Amino acid sequence: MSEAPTVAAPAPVIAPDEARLIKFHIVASIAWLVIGMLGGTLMGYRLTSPAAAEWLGDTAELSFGRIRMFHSHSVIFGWLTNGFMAFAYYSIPRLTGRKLWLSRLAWFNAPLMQVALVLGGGAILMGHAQGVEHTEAPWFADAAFAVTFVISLLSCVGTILLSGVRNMYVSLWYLVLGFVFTALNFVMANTIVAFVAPGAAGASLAGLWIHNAVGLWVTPMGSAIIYYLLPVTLKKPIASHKLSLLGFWTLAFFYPLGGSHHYFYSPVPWWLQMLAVPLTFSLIFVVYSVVYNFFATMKGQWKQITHNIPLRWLTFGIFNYITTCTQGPFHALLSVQQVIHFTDWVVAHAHLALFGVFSWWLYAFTYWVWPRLTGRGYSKALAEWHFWITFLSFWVLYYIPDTIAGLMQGFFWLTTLPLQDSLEAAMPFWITRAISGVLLMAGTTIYIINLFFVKKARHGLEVAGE
Amino acid sequence: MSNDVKAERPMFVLLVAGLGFFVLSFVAMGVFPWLTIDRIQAPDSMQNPYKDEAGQPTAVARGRDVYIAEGCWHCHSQFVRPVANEEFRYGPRSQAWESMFDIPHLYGTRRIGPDLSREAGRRSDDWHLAHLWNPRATVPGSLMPKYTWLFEQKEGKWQPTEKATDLVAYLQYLGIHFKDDVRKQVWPSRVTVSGSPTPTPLSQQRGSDLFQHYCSGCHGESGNGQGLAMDFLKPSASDLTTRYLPREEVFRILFMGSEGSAMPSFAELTEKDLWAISQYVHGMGRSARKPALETATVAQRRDRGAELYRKNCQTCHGENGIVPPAMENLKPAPKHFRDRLYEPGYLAEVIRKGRPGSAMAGYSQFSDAELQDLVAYISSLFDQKLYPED
Repeated sequence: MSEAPTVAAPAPVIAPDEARLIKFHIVASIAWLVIGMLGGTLMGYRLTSPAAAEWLGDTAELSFGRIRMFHSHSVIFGWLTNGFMAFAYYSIPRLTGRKLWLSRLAWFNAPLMQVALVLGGGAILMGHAQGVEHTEAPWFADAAFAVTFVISLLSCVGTILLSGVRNMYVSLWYLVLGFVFTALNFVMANTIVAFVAPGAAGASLAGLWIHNAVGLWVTPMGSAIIYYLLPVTLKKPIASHKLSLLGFWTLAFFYPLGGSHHYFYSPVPWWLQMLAVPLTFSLIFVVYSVVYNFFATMKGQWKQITHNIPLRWLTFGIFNYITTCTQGPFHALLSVQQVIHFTDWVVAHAHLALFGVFSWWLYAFTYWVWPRLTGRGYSKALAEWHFWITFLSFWVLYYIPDTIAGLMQGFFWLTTLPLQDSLEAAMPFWITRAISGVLLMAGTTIYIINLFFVKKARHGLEVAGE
Repeated sequence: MSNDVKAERPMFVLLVAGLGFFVLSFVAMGVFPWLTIDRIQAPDSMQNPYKDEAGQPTAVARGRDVYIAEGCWHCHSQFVRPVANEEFRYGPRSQAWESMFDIPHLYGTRRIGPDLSREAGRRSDDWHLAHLWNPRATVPGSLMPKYTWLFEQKEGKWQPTEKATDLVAYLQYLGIHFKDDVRKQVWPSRVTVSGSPTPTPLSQQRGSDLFQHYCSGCHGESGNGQGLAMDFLKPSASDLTTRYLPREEVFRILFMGSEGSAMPSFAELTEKDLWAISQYVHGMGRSARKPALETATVAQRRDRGAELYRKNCQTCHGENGIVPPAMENLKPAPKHFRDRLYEPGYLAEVIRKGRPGSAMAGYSQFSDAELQDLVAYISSLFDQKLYPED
């Protein structure tokens, strides 16, 4: 076994053109975050009462169904993916010691990716969506996005291959996996699921796509971030490189095959559904390999979370990770499925993962990297406001109420009372969810003001607490 | 210094984890299931619903496109699971062959509304159109968005565009192979109700609340039939203030619905709630009893009316005001005059003008006197012993 590679080496100075590319993706990601959150808040409001459902009711472009698709398009491909691009472009040269390959192409590619995303989002709002969950943008927008994604892949994976690095740090493993698997998966979903595979065969493959858009794009990218950022902010190596690699291989092998759990009890072949039960359950190991490594690395460093803002987001992200990823394997149990499937429980769970974990780790990354890219500091006080508003409003007003609403719906549906009654019973919980949307937007506003407008750029950077 | 381990080289990770595991999962989750599904035999009745003989897209196909573009499938799933009482609620469990022409499939993963895979024949086209135009028109507590852009205003009235009628064609196609099973479940062919619980002030209040909640969209808040949905419904929603309906009769209609009209079955409500609504609706038209029965007191009138009834009405409405079983197949079914009374002026008007959307034609040839005779006879068919004054 090789000696554990670390990221403790002093970071090379960021060249201006390199910084420009990373900054572009960060700004783009935050713009998409605002748009995506606006969509989410609008949807949340719409479900608070029949009168609220009437609001803007004659505007086709702002209809619930279209905004629903626009919301996931914006946050998955706009916010998270742009954020991950920024992270990849920042971390890969630092982990390989090589300048980004095709960096000029990557610079031209960055705005093109936004064009593809705007095209897709616009088409969804104009009523040209396709019926594939989590990639509802129509084929022309998908084709454009696929091209820009592959160009990023060439830059990122190409840099890793050309660097001649022999034993990679775990973040690089995840980056390679995420890019390669997702390029194939995205193209598969937008060709085979969208135009070839009928009915139950299509659902099996849609399971592969939707599950792994999260499992093999968002999760590996998030893991790459935490494995990079944790040692860098703590200035000490990760506790166990070996364990991180075990976690990697189990994720890469088990995660994709569990995807049909999105269609339990559907006409998808029963043997495939049964296969998804143990494979999904075994993900608990993947999860706790990351969790153990986090806690073991944090040993003796906990005092830092009071003043180190990026570390705070990483830490609370891992708490959410523990929660959501402990729920996940249990969702694969059929008795649990009977109740929670189709309900708000799943919505709460998904937001805990994509918002509570991976978005928070992206917050950590941006708080950490933005001052290093721009020479601007940020206000500790405003960062605290952003954190506490986000943490409290998400947990208290969104995650917990929506989870309860989901359980209530699930048990309600076991009775034979009118379904309409279950929706009305959920409304009080949906009101707090809509309020949390407004508060999360407020938090995001503070975040934007803090990063971009508060402190002037100066030499000799000092970032509060780090 | 670190040793070179092949498994830790970038190319190894790329080929095994990125490429290899993708191919593995594609084979396991795509190729194998696809092969097993292709061996499933669909019934002969399963034809491609999306293409006509000339290869052109059908109304069902165009409706499906609207369904996809509007993201309907994000709130309405399209598969019935064999668990959690879903078969009882929606209908028989979903089969793989049902969606064999669906590319992409629209199973869905969330329900903020009911599953739609057993929708064929469950509700009338009118109901769907009114519901799409404004969901609150048929379900006052609904959270569904309006789809007014699928409609246009003509001469002050809302009319569906082709997109709306296509969408309804698609909804009426969903689960068409199980239409009979669903029909038997949703529209029981016969319900006999005898005797009702004694009304209380509390059940009166509950009935009022439930009426506003479930009925006011079509029947109007005051029950006069002038609800939000009125532009779309044929036959129009009943004006409940013009008829004396015994509580048992209301209960029967609530439980059965009225197939062929937009009146759905409310059998999912608890029996207590159904009785509370029955009591409330009964109260709305209570004042019609006295004038209706008064018309029946003049023997001459009654006898002349009986003659007219035999010639013109009896085939459908039956002797003694009990609809013959064969005529129950008319949708909506003719009314049993044994079990209800109409306010005389209203009844005469309906006889003269008919009831558009039902088999009831207008009899404009009758003179006012003949109409009065007929009203007298029809009112006399009401069974006062079965339904004494309360």
